[in-house]
Amino acid sequence: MTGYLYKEFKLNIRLVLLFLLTYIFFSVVPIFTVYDSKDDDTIGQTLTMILGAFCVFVFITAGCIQSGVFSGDDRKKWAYFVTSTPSGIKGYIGAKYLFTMLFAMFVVTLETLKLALAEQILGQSSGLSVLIAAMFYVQLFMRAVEYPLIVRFGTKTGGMVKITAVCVIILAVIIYALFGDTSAFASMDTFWERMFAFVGDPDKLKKLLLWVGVCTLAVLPLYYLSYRISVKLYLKGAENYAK
Amino acid sequence: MPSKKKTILRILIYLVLAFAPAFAIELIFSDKQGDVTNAFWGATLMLYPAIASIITRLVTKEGFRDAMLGFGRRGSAKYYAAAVLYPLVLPFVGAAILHLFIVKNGSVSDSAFGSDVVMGFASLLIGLASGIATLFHGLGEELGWRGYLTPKLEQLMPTPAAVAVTGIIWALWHGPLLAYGYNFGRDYDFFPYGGFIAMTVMCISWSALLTWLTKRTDSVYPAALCHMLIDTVAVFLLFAYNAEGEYFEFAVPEFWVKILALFPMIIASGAVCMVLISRKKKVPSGT
Repeated sequence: MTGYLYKEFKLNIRLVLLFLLTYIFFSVVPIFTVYDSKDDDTIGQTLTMILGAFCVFVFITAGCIQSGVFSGDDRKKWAYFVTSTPSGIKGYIGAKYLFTMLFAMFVVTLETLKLALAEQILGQSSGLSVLIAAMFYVQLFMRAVEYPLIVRFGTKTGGMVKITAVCVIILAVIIYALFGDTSAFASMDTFWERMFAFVGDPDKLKKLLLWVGVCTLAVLPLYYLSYRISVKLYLKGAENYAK
Repeated sequence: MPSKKKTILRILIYLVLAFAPAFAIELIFSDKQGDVTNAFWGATLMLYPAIASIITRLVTKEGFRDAMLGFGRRGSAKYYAAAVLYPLVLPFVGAAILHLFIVKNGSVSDSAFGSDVVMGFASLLIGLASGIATLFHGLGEELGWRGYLTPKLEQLMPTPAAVAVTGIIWALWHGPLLAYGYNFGRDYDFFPYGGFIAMTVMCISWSALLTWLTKRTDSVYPAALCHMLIDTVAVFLLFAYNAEGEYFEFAVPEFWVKILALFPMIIASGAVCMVLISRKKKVPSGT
């Protein structure tokens, strides 16, 4: 298992370093963007919005790296070799899942440090730690859905299945935007007003936090289930891999 | 196995690397109240033991073969469950002792947790979720203390002694913060020595628990998980406050509240784990 983990680390180190370089850029830029308007009265909201947007962007970028952990491994020869090793399929797939989780945790650590740096420079907290934790679980959820598809159908077909699923969701959103009730988004000013009013209402916030807690924790068993499914599907998927 | 001299040298390199940056931050940015004023450097504190162990392994060319980075051996799930359950049970056991023996003017239902159960459980779940998400911070300490220092000390002394020495070193690592009142405040007669003693007892007990988790699974993740959750699932204080956010009236000075309420379980679990890790494995007869 440690060997497989080492392999993942070795294969992805360049991508991780590249990610780190872009990360430094994307963590410094928003802080100093906000720093320019430090004396503005609405600094708290500006800080939350800009840092929040960059935080989401960072998690999307990290997600791209995670999605690529299986690429290059979908070869029949490699799959049968993996099966014959002492760690076996469980160790091989487990290392992928563990690497993904550790990388996501690494991103959380980076984001935590970035928020601390922002707090230090700007003199006030952005209150985004819950968003970071939520993004971590969203990321795990996405991988939990994506990995079994990749294992079963290979990187290419699995990727296409994923893109198709995303397109279906986008199409559903577009159809809803065209024909559904969109009064909540009629005016962005009132939308944000209502949004901040919602966050300001203690009762609603409590219930929201409780649901955030329940939903985020539900992702962990799902991630484990996804690992078990991937282990089960691996040899079936290997039949479709190139030689 | 490397010679004693080599092991001592490795331990010294590790300790210098783990202590130097932590002490520098704790002293330079101290708010003189037991915390650090610089949010950024404060957030990096937990990472130094891991950084120290990685640098030591690279410098001494030990490699990472025994770094316990895998998931753990077969049947480790129950230890992962224990790593999650312990930090969840601890505040409730503490709360029971607190309200049975220490609080003079109220009950659990009057506490901040009891009067607002939804918010209490929301805090618990969010603490649990963020503890798991920030596991890297827990790994930052556990890769160093349980993943490096304890196994190295075990080469020089019996396991229980290694666990105790790790606990003492771990407590001292918080030294500059403790000297200003970290964790136990400043409002007691024998400040700051009481804080040091309490922290040492706590660290030795948790060192036993976390070493037990690490040894049983052959992985540092359960210990990191448990450590992080102990830090983030901090709902005990919600039982010490009333609904208005004021402390209850206690039968003992504030310094003793945490110790009397939380230490029984911490020490008991530590003692049990110490016994479990000290037990020699039975060698099957005829071998």
